Order: sequence, then structure tokens, then C-alpha cells
Amino acid sequence: MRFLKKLSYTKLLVILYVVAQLGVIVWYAANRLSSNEPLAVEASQKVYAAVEEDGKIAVINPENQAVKYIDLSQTVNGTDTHYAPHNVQVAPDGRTVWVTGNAAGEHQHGTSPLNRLKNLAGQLSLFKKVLAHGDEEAMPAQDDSPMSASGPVQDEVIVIDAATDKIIKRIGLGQGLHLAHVALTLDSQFAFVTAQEKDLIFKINGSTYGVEQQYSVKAGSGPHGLRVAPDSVAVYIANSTGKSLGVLDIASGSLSYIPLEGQAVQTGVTADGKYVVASIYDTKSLAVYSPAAKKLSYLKLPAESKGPIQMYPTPDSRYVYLADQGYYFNQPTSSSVYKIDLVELKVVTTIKTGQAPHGVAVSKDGRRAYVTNLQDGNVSAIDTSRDIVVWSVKVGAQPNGISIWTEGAGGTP
Amino acid sequence: MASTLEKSLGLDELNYPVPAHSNSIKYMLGGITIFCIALAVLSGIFLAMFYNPDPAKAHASIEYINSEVYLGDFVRNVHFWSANIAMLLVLFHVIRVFINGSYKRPRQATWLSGVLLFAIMIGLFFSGTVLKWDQEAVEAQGHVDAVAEKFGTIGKLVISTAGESVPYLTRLYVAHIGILILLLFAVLFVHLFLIKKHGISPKPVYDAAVRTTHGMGSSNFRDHLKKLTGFGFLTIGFIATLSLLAPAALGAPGVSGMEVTKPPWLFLPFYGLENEFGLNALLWAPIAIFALMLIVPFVDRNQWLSPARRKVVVTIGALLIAVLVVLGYNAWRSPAHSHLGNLRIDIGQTVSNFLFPKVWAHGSAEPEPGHDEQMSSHQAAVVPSSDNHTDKKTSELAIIFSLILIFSFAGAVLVLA
Repeated sequence: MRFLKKLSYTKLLVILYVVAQLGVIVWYAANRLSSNEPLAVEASQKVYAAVEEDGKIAVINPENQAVKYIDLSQTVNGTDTHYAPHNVQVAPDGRTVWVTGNAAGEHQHGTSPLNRLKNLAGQLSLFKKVLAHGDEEAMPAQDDSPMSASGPVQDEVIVIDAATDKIIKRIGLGQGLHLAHVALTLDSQFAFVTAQEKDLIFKINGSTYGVEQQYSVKAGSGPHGLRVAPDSVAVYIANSTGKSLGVLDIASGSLSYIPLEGQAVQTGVTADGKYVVASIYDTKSLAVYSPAAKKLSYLKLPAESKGPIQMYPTPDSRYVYLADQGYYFNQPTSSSVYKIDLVELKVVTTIKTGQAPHGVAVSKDGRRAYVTNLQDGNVSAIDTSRDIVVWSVKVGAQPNGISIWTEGAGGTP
Repeated sequence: MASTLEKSLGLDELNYPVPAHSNSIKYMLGGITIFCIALAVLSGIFLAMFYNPDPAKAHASIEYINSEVYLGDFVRNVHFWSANIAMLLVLFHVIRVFINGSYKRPRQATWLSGVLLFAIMIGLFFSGTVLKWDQEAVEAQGHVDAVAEKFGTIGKLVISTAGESVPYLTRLYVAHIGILILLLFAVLFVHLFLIKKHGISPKPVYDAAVRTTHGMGSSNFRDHLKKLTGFGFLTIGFIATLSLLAPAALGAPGVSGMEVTKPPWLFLPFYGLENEFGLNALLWAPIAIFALMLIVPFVDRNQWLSPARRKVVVTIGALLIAVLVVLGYNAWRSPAHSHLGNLRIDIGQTVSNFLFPKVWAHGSAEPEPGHDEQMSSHQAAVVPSSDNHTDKKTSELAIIFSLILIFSFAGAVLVLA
């Protein structure tokens, strides 16, 4: 005490400062160095983005744009196997997050032009087909699945616990499938997955994770994106090379097709079920289908459109945000997201987000639309009241699908 | 031996009396600022090895620094925080000098050189903000352009579209690392020379009057320097800690024509004024503030130093500071506003697309040697198990922790001794 009394306030503060510095170091070392696990983002909302080229799922906290990653690779017989996630989907009940993971080396959609060339050369030399993602005609089909020490690796649907952001289940579906999208029924009881390369749709039980059914779509259809109707009666499938909107009746398992003017990439269904939309890449249009009236119409996108990919309707069912990516199939790259009025059937706003906007999801409250920018490697958040980008955050190479988890409200279907 | 060395190096010249109160921390704010400036310069030299001032590559080169360069993100954070802490300290220093009447004769020139230093530091702070070339930077430059255009032909010389042969960002970079730094050190030299010549201002007790303190006082400059170094080291330790805990932000590549960000804290009061009075406020408010700073030694001319005997001037100054703080606080709380009119975003985006093509790393438009191999191995189905990132991070942290401890303990020893 006598020692303390002799100290001036300044000196006392200096001693406290040094102690605090030591404390910071100990705290930092204890909390950061020891933790190699992906940490769950503690937030009321989380945005999941499939970072395809990095083989990871980025989990973004929109409040501070902090990003955590879930590594999808797994070790088989001592070797790490890399999975490229194409799509990510939060289950409507908010408990799980579903990912289509393609064993790397097989699924090259969306890679950089350089890599596409490299892969092309490599695949030609092995007498394999040219490119995935419906890119022109196939050469004689061969098994192009990557190998692990124990044999060919299967493409998987990977299920993540939304509470902990840890992988809880890996569902191997087969080799060389080119799994594209996954979507769930509103009660999260069933997940539907497209296998573009094999013209297959898988139906997976959302509780047991067992494959319950396998549907074959018309040969050469190339099913890519899909969405489930809000009443969970039908699944709407974007058939790319088949140039059609596939309709899978969930109860009967029957498939029907609505011909489209071009190659469909993704579908969307408004919350009121009135409209089913499909992006048509080659004709640069949006197909708008009314299931009740069985009427199909098209919205021609603005002349500067380079090729639309994903879209997502707003919760009020009035608008759709459509990512005009371009970039594939020798198209120039776009940076536009179109906001489309479904009633007026016109583009009302063009929003510049980043290079090659690809995936889109609108939050349940309708206040934010999140977009992955494929070439910029980031995710942009659009304030839907002003339709401007309010932030962008780097997530990694070639971010693709995107989905939103909201506390107490579950996932965007 | 030591004495011979001291004489040889001229260190014995430092052995002169200074007033005892110069050893209190509030009289060392300016000195500690010099440590921050030195740290900003050192970290800036490191960053200059990797930063690319080409507008098409600038942002990507910073991303490269953050993600690829060994200790790169930490050094960039140190650069950011040393600049911010320097500005904060210099603000407190100016306020202390103002309250104590230290600008009065014979120290008018010291004050004027200090005002010039303050302006140069703001220039460095601003140019550093723009060099990162993110959304905040593009918007900041848009505002400067809009203000500069009000100066007609002269103003147009400094706007971002002037000078086609050398990109604006490159010219700004030259100003940041060359012209402004040279000016800073030149004026700093004059400032320190004048402090030495007139001595530190007397303690502003009630009856204190203006006078020189050169060669007076019960303390010694070497002791003062030791204590100042101690506080300087403590500040460096603090900056290192901040750099570890609070990384410097880097927004998305900027898109001109949008206004969605706010300026750094230093400019928030002017942003608040701009919200109220429009773009003209950005022009006139800084001019008015600097004019007031320049004339204050020639208006407040009585011999008294104590604030109690300079109530009118001190009250006006306090009100001005309060207004700026309130404006800054309101601006901080308010949403981002648009001030530059309805620029066509698609035109801005076209320019942005030109400026920010996809680059691979360190601003190179083509993949760097070895990048192909990295990417192909990354895509290979069977990837060898390795985690260099964790190793690197651990060794980086070891260096950072060491720096914090060394500077904190050395600073504490020097201050407490």
C-alpha cells in the first residue's frame, strides 16, 4: 500500500496499461490460436454462400460482414478430398443447411476462363466430355470422377447444422452427377436435388437423410435449378439443354414439361404461388408462368443484358431480383441485377452489384437482397427500399448459390 | 568513454534545462504524435513494396497485402491506426495549445507552423483514405472533385479527371509518399526549431504572462526526451494492440455515382455540415476554421496565458469545438446521404468496370508465376493435407505479441524510471 501511495496517477495508469496489454495477449492467444473450428456466427441473420472454387461455404453475419467458413473437404483414407459446392439452401425450418457438393475435378462450371481452358485441355486428353453445365455436346461419356485411395469419390449432398455450422451428414448420391441445385418443401420434410449430367432428380428425406426416390427427366434435359411451390405440391425445374420448365408433381411423382424459348438456368416461385419464373440464358429473357391460368409469357431483358442466371421473388410476390451474369459461353460479363415488376412485367430498376452477379436470395422481411458476384468473389447486400448496394464482402473464389437463415423464421425456401 | 561518445555525437547538446511541466503528458502530445508519424512512415515503406497505385490494380493490391503478404494485414492496420492516433493526438495538442494560450508572442510562428503541419497531416490522412480505392475512397474523391471545380481552372488541375497521361491515383500516391511527406518533415523541422528557440510555453497559472522559457526550468531536456520516448513506446504498443484487435476496413472496389458510405471520423463534422447546407459547406467550413486558427495569435494579443483571463476567446473556441463535435456525432448517427446529385450509376459503373477488371493477385492482370499450379492443385480431387495458413498465422502472432510486449515494457520502464 505504501508503494502504491508513492505512485503518481500517471505511473499507476502506466502499470495498469501494461497489465492490460498482457491481458489482451493472453485473451487473444487463448481465444484465437486454439480455435481452428469454423465458428458459428452469432447473429439474428446469416447468409450462406457456396464458394465453389474454394470448396467452402461462407457464413456471413450481415450486421458486421464478418465471414466464417465451413470447409467441405473430407479425409478418406488419409487423403483430403475437395468438394466444390454449387448451391446452398437453408431448410425452411431453419434447422439445417443443404449443399450440393461435387467432388472436385468433375464439376468445373463457373471456374475462371484460365481454368476452364486448362480443364478443357486435360479433359480432351483423357477423351472426356468438354465442359459441364450444359456447355455444348458431350463426347463419349466416361467416368470422370476423381479418385481417392479407396476408389472414385461420389458427389454428395452435404447437410450442415444451422445452429453450429458443422457438417452433420454427407449423402453420397453417385459419381459424375454434376449436382446442381437443392430445394426443400416448406415443411423441410423433403429435399429435391438436380443431377444435371445424368438427367436425374433425387428426393431425399429431410429427417432420415435417406434417398426416397429418383426421378428421370427427359433425356438431354440437363436439369439445373429448381424451386418448390409454396404449397409443396410441385417442384419447378429449369431444364437447360432441354429448354423447358419441368414440373414434378410431388404426390404422384409424374413429370410434365412446359417448352421454353431457350435454356433455363433457375426457377423461382412467388410466395403467393401465382407466378413461376425461369431465367432464360441464351435469349436473355425471363419466363413468367402462371400455374393457375397455365399461361406463359416472357419479359425480354434490356438490350445490354448478357445472360440471366438466378432470381428470387420478394416476399410480397410483386418483384423479382434477377442476376444478369453473362460470362458463360463466351458472353461478355455483366454487373447488373434487375428488379422486375411481375405485375407490370417490366424492369423497374437496374442495380450494379459486382462482376458477374450469379446467386440471389431475398431476406424474409424483404429488406435485403443478397447477391453473389462470381468474378469479384464477393457477396453484395442490396437495400431493397432504395435498391442500392449497401455493402459487399469478399468471400472467396467463384461464389455461386446463396441462401439466408433468419433467427426464428428459418430459411428462405 | 560515454562522455566522449556523447560529445562526438553531439548528445551533450541535449543537456539543457526545460520547465518541469513539460514532462506532463498533456505537454507531450505533440511529441508522441511524432512517434506515430514515424510509425506511419515505417509501415508505409513496407506497404509501398506491395501497393500498386494503378487505379485498375490498387484495390486488388491491398487485398493482396491483406491476404497474402506476410504480416501484411498487420502492417496495414498499424499504418491505419498510427495515422488515426496521430490525428487524434494532434487535435488534442492543438486544443491544449489553444487553451493554454501557447500561440501568443513570441510563439506566433510556432503556432502558424503547427497549423500548417495540421493541414499537411489532414492532407496525408485524406490521401491515404483515397489510396485504398474502395467505395469510401471513390466517394471522398467525388466530393473533392466537386469542391475543386468551384475553383475554376485552378481547381480543375487537382480533380481526378485532370491529367490524362498519369492516372489520378498515381499522382495522389506521389503526393502521399513524396510531396506531403517532404513538406511534413520540413515544416516539422521548423516547428521543432521554434519550440527549441522560444522554449515551451509557461504553465498557465492565473498570473502567468507570455515569456520565453528557453534555457530555463528545473528539469532537463534529456529527461524529458526519455519520458517522451517512454510515452511514445507505450503509444506504439497501444497501436500494435489496436492493429491486432481492430483491422482497418477495406470496402468493395468503388463505384462512382453512388453515395453509400460516410467519411472517416475526422471529416464527419463537415459531412454533417454538408447534410445541412450542401456541398458549399465543404468548401467554406474548412476555410473558416483554418482562417480562425491563423488569426487567433493576432487577435488574442494580451499578455495573459490563463484561460481564466481569456474567457471570450476560450469560450468562442470551446463553442466551435462543441459545434464540430455535435455535427460529427449527428453525422455518425445519421444514414448516408447523397450530395453529388443524380449521377448516372450506369456511367459510373462503366468507368468502374474499366478501372477494376478482375485481377489475380498483387495487381497483376495475369496470374503470377506459380499461380496456375496453386489453382490446379486446389482443384485436384485429392489434395495433400497441409495448413500453411495456421503456421503462418502463428508465427505472425508471435511477432505481433513480441512487438506489443517490447514496446509496452520498454515504454513503461522509461516512464516509471
